[in-house]
Amino acid sequence: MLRILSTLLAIRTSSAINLFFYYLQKLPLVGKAIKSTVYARTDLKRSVSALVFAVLLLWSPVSKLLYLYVLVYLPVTAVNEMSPAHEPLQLFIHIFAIISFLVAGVSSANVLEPKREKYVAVRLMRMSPQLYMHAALSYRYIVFLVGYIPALLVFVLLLEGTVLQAVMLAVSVAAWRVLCEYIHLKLFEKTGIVLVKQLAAVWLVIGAGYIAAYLPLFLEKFPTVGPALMHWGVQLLIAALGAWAAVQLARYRHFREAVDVATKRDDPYLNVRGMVADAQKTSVQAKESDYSEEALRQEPVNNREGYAYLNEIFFTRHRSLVSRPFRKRLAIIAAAGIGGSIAMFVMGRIQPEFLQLELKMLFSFLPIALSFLTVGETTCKAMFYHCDISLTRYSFYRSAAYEHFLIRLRKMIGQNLWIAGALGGALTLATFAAGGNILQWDAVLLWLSIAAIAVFFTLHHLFLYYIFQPYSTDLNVKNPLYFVVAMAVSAACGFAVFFPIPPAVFTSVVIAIVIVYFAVAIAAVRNYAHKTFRVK
Amino acid sequence: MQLVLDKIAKRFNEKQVLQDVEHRFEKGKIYGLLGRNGAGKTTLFNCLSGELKVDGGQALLEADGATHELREQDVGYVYSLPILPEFLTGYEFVKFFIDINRRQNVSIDRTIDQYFDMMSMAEEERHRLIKGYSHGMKNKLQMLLFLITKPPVILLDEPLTSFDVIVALEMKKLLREMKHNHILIFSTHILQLASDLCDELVILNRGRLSSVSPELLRSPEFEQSIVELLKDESHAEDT
Repeated sequence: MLRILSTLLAIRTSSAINLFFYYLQKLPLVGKAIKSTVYARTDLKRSVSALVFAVLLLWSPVSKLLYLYVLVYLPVTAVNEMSPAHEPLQLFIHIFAIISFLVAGVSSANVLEPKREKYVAVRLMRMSPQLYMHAALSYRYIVFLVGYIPALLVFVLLLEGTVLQAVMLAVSVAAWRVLCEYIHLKLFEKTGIVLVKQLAAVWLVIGAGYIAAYLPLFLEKFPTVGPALMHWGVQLLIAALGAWAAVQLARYRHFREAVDVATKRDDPYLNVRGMVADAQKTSVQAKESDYSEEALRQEPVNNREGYAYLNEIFFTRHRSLVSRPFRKRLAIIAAAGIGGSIAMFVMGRIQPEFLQLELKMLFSFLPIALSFLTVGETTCKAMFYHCDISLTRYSFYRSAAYEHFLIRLRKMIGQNLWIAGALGGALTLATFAAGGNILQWDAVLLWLSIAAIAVFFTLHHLFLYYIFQPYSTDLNVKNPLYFVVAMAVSAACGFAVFFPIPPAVFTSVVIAIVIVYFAVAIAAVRNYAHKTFRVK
Repeated sequence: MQLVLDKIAKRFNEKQVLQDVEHRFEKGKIYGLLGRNGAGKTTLFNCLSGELKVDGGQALLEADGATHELREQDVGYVYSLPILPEFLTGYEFVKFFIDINRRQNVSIDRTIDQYFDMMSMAEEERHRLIKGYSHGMKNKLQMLLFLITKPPVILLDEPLTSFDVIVALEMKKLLREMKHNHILIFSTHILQLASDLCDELVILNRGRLSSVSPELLRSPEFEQSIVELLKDESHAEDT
C-alpha cells in the first residue's frame, strides 16, 4: 500500500507542478519567460516536488482553519456580541456538527466521487481498485484528522473549551466521515444508488442543513446538538463506529464496481473544462423552432441590404435567445413594480411611519440594478456563437466592424430603453403608492438617469465585445483586460451604493460619463475594431 | 501577376514554424503545398490571409508592373473545415455578400441564381439553411464567393479530401477554370491529387519552402521521391 501511496503522491505533486507552470505561463510579462520545455525538466520538478508536497500537506490545516473561521467562528462571535442566546462553544459545535457531520457526510464520499486521479490510477495505470482505494482513503483520513486537530484547537480554546474537547471533536469528525464512506459504499452495493450524484437530494440536505446550522444564532429556543456531541459517551460511540467502518473498508472486496461507476469515460465531472464549455454553449443554444422551415416561411420580408439585412435575419432567427431575456426582464420589472406598489399602499395604511420612500433615495441603487437588468452579455455571446465566430474569419467582415457595431448598438439600445422605461415606471409607481411626491424635478432626473445608465451598459457590453473580443471558440473568456474593465465598472456600481450623492449631481455625472464613454467607444471601434474583432 | 513571399518568418513560443520562407507564385498555375502534419502549411496560409501576424518578412503582389503588399482583401481563403454563418440560407448569404461588395464597387456581372448555377447547386439547396449543408456544399459556397470577388490569390487548405468522387471531380474542373485569373495554392496530404491537379509543387519542411521540379511531378518516381524527401527530415511536431 505504501508503494501505491507514494505513486499517488507523485501523481499529485507532478500535476500540481504542471498546473503551477501552466498558470505561470499565462501571467503577463513573467509568462513569456517561461518556456514550454519547463514541463520536461524533471530535475527541476524533482527539486520542487518536496516543496509542493509540503504545500499540499499544509493546505489541509490551513483550509480547515479558514473554513472554521469564516463559516463557524465568525457567525458565532458576531451574533454573540449582539444577543447571547446560547453558549458560544455549544453554538460553534452545533454549526460545525451540522455542516461537517451531516451535510458533508451526505454530499461528499471519496469512495464514489469521480476524480481524475482515480481515472488515471485505475483505468490508465491499471492499479488494483482495492489497493488504490485503501491508499487513497487512508491518506485522506489521516491528513483529515491531523489537519483538524490544530484547527479545532485554535477555535475551541478561543471559545474557552479544553484541549481534550478539541481533540475528541477532531477524532469524532474523522471517525464519522469514515463511517459515512462505508454507508455510501453499502448503499451503492445494495441499491446501485450513488448518493453524491443525486443532486436534488444533496442540495436539499445542504439547504436544510445550513438553515438548521445557523437558526440557533437567531432563535433562542432552537435546540443545538452541541451538548450531545460534547458528551463523552457519544464521542466514544462515534469513534468506535468509525473504527469498525475502517476495518470493514479494509476488508471490503468489491471496490472494482465502485471505482468503475466513478470513472466512466464520459463522466462530465472528470472533464470539468469540457463541462463548463458545454454549459456555456448550452446557454446560447438556439431553439430548433427558430430555425424550422415553417419559421423561415413566416418571417417578414426583409428589404434591407448588407449588414442591416444580415442582422435583421440574425435577430429574427435568434428571437428565443435575444428577445426572451428581454421579455423576462420586462415581466419581472412589471410584476415587481405592481406587487411592490400594492405592498407599499397596504403597508402605508397600516404603519405609515415605516414608509418614507423618496425618489432621491433610489438614485444610488440605479447603476447596480441596471447592471443586472439590462440585456447585453447574453446577446453578445449569442452573436459571437451563432454569427461572428464564423464571419470574423473573413477580412471583409472584420473591416466593416464599425458598421455592424452601430447597427447592433441601435438594436440593443432600443431594447434596454424599454427596460429602462419599465424600471422608471415601476419605481415612480411604488414611490407614489408609498405616499412619496412624484410631481417634482427629482422624477425627471430619475428617468433621465435610468435612461442614461441603460445606454451606458448597452454601450459597455458591445464596446467590450468589439474591442476585447473575449470569447474563444469554447466561449471561455480569455482576455484578462476584459475582466479588468468589467470588474472596474462593477466596482464603480457598488461604490455608488455606499456613497450617495444629490440627484442633480448624480444625473449630471451619469450623463457626462455616458457622453465621454460614447465618444471614446465610437472612436475606438472605428479605429481599432477591424483589428481586435476576431476569434482568439 | 505574381505573389512574392519574401523571408516570411513566424514562431510560436520556442518553435520556429516558418523560417525565411521565400517563393514566387504565378497566375495561371495551380500550386500544391505539401508538408507533413504540423509542418506549418496552415500557419503559412493564416499569415498570408492576415489571420496571423508575421514575425518577419512580407508578402507582395506584383501586377501590371506595380508591386504592393498583399492585403487581406487580395486573398480568398477556403478553410479545410468550411466556416460559414449557419443561420443563413445559401441564397441569403450570397445576397448579403453581393450587397456589401457592390457597395465597394466590385463589378457584379451575374445574378445570384446565375452564380449558383455556375456551382451546379440546385434550386432547393439554395434556399436551405447552411446549417444543413454537407461539407461539399459548404466548400462550394465558399468557392462561389471567389467567383464574385475574384481575389487575385486563392488559398485552399486541404480541399477535396472529404468529397465524394462526383463533387471532387466538379471541384477539380472548377479549379482548373479558375486558375486562369488567379494564383491558386492548395495544401494537401494526398500525393495523387497533387500530381493530378497541380502545375507546380512546393514542399514546406523545417519551416522552409522548396520547389519540386516539374519533370519530377510527371515522372513515375514522383511519389517515391517525395516520400524520401519528407522522410529525410525529422518529423515536425504539431503547431
